[in-house]
Formats: sequence, structure tokens, C-alpha cells
Amino acid sequence: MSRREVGPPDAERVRHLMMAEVDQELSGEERRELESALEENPDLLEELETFHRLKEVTDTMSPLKPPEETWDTYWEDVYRRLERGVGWVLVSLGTITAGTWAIWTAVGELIRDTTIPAYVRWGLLALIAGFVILFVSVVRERLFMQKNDPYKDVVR
Amino acid sequence: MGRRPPSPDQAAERAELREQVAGAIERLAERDRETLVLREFEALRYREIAELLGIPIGRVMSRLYRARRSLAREIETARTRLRQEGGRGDE
Repeated sequence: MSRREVGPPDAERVRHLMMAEVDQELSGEERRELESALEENPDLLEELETFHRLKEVTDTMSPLKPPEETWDTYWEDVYRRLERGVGWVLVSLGTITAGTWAIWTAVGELIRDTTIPAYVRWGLLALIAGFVILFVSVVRERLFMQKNDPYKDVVR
Repeated sequence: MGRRPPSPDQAAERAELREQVAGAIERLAERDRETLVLREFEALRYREIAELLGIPIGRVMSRLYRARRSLAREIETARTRLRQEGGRGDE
């Protein structure tokens, strides 16, 4: 039987599973997934055993403290994320309110303006509706991808 | 039944190994080192590390993998060198 070469996306997933196994953070389903990968590629088993041996050593070591900068960065990051969050909520609310009002007013005036031929008015309405639909579609897709993309955490 | 205490040779070997690992940890890239230290010495869960560092859990695992692979390689290289030096010393 030829040994299956683990391609980049699979390899990253298996690496994550190996780490979770070493750190006892593996769920039942993930354990089965890892066992299956190990059966297909015995080299991974050897690597996993190396990580276990390393873990045995680090478990007996005196604690090394994370650098102080880690905690400083954490709190800075918390404040920054809070600020950005509040900022984005306000910007979003303002944009939605002002944008809705502008579109509503423009559409109303367009419909009432009898100097513009009817087919041009309907064309402009179609154009605005098309832009709105495309915008909503792109935003929805981006949000969906962000939640469901299995490779978004992969770092080259 | 308790485990037998290690012999002086074994104890010395383990102490040396711990020193090697500590040195190798110091040489890791900063991000990898900080993630490894939070996991190994602060005993934080992946979720907690991810929240602390503001990164996804997948990136925590990627950094841990990179750090541990690097440590394993350094230790293996050091062991090989020691064996070679020991072999030359015996001659």
C-alpha cells in the first residue's frame, strides 16, 4: 500500500490535532480523526511520540514566566478592541441610518420627477436596487466565510 | 507502589536535557515562545491563550506545533553532537 502524502491543508489539520492530543484537548470525534490520520501515515506517529517525550521533559521543568510584555499587550489589546468595537457600531449605525434616508429620499424624488422619462427612472431604480443587493450579498458571504472557513487560521 | 528514584546518571542526564530544552525555548521566535510558555508553564487552555493573545485557536495550535518541532530538532541535534563527542572521548 502506498503511503498517503498529507497535503498542506490536511497536514495543518493533523498538526493541530497532534497538539490537542499532547495537551489533552482532543474531543472524541477529533481523536478518531487523528487515529485515522496516524494509521495512514506512521511517520506522524513517530512525530507525535517525540512531542510526548518533549512534554514529559517540560512537565518537570521549573516554570518560565511569560514576558511582562505579553500581559501589557493583552490589556492594550482589550482596550483597543473595545474602542474599535464601539467605533464600528457607531459608524455602522450612522451609515445605515444616513444611507437609508438618502436612498429613500432619492428614490422618492426620482419617482415624483416627471421631467425624467419613466424608463430612465426605472433604470436608475434598478441600478440602486442592484447595488444594494450586491452589497448585502458580499457582506453576508464575508461573514459566512469568516465563521466557516476551516483554513482561516493557517499561517504560512 | 512508588517509582524507583533515578540513578545519578539518569538524574544528571535529565537535568542536562531540561537545560537544553530551556535554552532552546529561549531561542524560539518570540510569538512561539510566548504561546508555548503560556501553555506549558501557565497551564492555560487553548481557548484562554487565544483570548489572551487575541488570536484564533488554530493559530495557537500552529504556534505550539512550530515551537515543539523546533525544540525537538534542537534537542536531537544536541544529543547527536554529545554522542559524537562522547564517541571521540572514548577513542
